[in-house]
Amino acid sequence: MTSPSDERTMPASTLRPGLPSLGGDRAMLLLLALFALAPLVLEAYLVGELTRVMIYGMAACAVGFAIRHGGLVSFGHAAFFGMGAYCVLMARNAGYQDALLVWPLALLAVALLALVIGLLSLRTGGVAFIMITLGFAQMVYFVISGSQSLGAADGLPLFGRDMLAGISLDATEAFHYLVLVALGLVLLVMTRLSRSPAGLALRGIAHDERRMKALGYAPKRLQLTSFVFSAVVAGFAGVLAANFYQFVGPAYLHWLVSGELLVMVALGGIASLSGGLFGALILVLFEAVFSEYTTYWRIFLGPAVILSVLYLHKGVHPALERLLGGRDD
Amino acid sequence: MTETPLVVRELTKSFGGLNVTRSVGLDLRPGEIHALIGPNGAGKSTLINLIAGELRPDSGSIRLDGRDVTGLHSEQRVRAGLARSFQVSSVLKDFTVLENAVLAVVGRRQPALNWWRSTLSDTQFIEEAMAALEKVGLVRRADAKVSTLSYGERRHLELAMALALKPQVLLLDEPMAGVGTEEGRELTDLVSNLRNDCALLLVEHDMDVVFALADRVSVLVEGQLIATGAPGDVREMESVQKAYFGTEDVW
Repeated sequence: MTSPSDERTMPASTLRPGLPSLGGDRAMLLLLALFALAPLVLEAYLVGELTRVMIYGMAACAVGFAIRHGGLVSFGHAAFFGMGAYCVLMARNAGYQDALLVWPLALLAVALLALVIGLLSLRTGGVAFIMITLGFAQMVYFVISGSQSLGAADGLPLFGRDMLAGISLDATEAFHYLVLVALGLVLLVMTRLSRSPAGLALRGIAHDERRMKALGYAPKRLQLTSFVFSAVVAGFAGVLAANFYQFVGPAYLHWLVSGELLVMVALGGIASLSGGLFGALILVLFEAVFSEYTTYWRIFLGPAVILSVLYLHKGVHPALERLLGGRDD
Repeated sequence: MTETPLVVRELTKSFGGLNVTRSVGLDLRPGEIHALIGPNGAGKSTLINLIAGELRPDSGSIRLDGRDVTGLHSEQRVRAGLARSFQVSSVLKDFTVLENAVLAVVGRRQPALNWWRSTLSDTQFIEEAMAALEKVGLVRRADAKVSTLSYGERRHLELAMALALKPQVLLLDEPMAGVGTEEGRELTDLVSNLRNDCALLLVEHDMDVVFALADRVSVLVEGQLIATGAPGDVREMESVQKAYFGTEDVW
């Protein structure tokens, strides 16, 4: 056995990693730059719309992460999104408004909920996993929407956003930039994880679980970690959403949210780390544009999804990436 | 290596009323290529799945290097040194050749999985993976997506991944299935060289390959081992000829 010591035998990928990197995702960097510039040129209402894109995009990227890394199609992420939001409300009810205290605790609560739901749901797979995550999310929905102290079916207003180390986030711009930083951090962490040995293994598990077992991997534990991470990110998006709307209600927990997050992922591109972000952009844009004409704006969404599947094949993000001359994998 | 790498004793498995594995006993000697042959439906694949741990036996034991692994899951057996290849080439198609090999290298080191460091920046992973690819002659294809590989190349990669696991025992489920004569000859040489790395249990339909490669042959018929021995001896046995080739009337 000779070891491949001479440089000729080493593959180019050791010098130029072949796995997706934040730097390589031109479409995403462009979009993040647009988010950064938006408050300088757009009116407050439109800036708010883009803040919304980032929040839902973060949650959609979380859903996409679990699909890519572990093959876990969750139809229950509304539970984690909503749990994050309701934690902000519960903290507020108890008199706490400091983001540095409330937000980590909220994420911890979401992680615990995801651990329990994940442990039980991962006993199944495939379509059964989709249905059981939906089932758990519905349980959370009915428990919380039946709770009088949490506003029951009507929800409760927050009256002002949380404070970040004494700084008010009530201004549209301040909150917009905070969400942008949070989103950037989340995408960085996701990129990092997806390139790690565990991330690579999870991608393999999504492709062929049996094969990965034959390579010595124990899929369930890895999948559970991926699921909990994905849930925590969705919970973070929920925390931000509660602060954005300054209102928390059962709509956060509704299965429609889980469904819309999946639509965002499918539209943006399941194979792309930032796919969910582009799906969120399209969905929020559609709502903003067409809801002026009709409350049934989703009627325009259906054809868009069909066209995207027919002509873009892998989704909007890979198509944009090709357009910008980057790699589309 | 003084221990017998693989010892199978009185392995039994039935699905309902169907006894697919009946009290099978089998040894793999160090550095041996042991072929498992038998007519279709004899239970070869079931036996491989039992040894690999994908199926649970009803009774019997499997020892790997003197250690009882009967109660271990398949992934635990892999880490204990028992690797397998698949009948249908099942390397991960959306990955590059190198990524596939790295997955195997990393798999062996479980459960110390890193969540933070970049996989491809770890030179040790890369070097081990490249060493495995070199053994099967796939180094120059390291950066190619598996989906662009020929069927024969995929079979080579399958072997490289099994080797990257550094097993003591390797179960090869029809490694030549579906490849052309030229590639088949190449693969035969390759498998023959694996002898130096580990003991092999080979399931193969092509008798030319079996007689070219095997040090010993075991014949499985209706879930039972009816003969084990040197290829020449086994070929001459009347019971084997009868079971394997049918009665003389067929010819």
